[in-house]
Amino acid sequence: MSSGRPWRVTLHDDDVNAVPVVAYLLRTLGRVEREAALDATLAAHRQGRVDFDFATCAEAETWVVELQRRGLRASLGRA
Amino acid sequence: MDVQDAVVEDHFDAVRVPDGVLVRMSRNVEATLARQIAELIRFLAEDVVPERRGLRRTAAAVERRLFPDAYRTRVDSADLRARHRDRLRDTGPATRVAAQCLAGSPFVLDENGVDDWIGTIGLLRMLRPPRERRLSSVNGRWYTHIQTLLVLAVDPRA
Repeated sequence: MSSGRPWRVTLHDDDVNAVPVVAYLLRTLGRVEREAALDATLAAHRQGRVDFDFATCAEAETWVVELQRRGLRASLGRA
Repeated sequence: MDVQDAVVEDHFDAVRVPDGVLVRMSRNVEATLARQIAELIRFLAEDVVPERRGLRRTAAAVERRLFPDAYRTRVDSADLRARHRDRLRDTGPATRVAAQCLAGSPFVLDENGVDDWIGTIGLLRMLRPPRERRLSSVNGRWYTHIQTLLVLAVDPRA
């Protein structure tokens, strides 16, 4: 089912960043609440990726940049 | 001085205090981090690739390690890196962290300071060759140790 938000950022699992650190960054960068941040991090760890939908390309790009400049692996595209 | 006196213990810890996060490191950890962060700053500012024996890497390859292709195509991904170059290549956080290492611990970080550290260590890890960034490597374990202690100090529920 479509979220109505046409841009999607994917956070990819990696073998270098620890779960508490990734969850902390998702929360402090303002995208998700505490419990959701941990759930999203664990989902990425188990499934290899987790997606976040955005209304605009600019918002999605900004999110990707903020994740990448902290050493996380993120990509984006049309939802 | 006997042999025991010559052993310098590596140490880093971070604990919550009323006005932030108190960081303490041994001098050798401060010096090592300052040296590694200087390499990161040189790369971010001037595309200078750190030299590693037996390893030849181009600046473009290192950039794509730090900031991997975000779009499906290389062209679109390179365009994104160009549009956001100032933010991706911002040396401010690394410069502040390096200055704290050079000045020596202890010092207290606020939440912005913790973010500087976590981001800088995250990029520092990606600057290393793959075998040196894994959790199983010495550097990889140190980077994870530092980031995790900082997160747990600033947010014990993390």
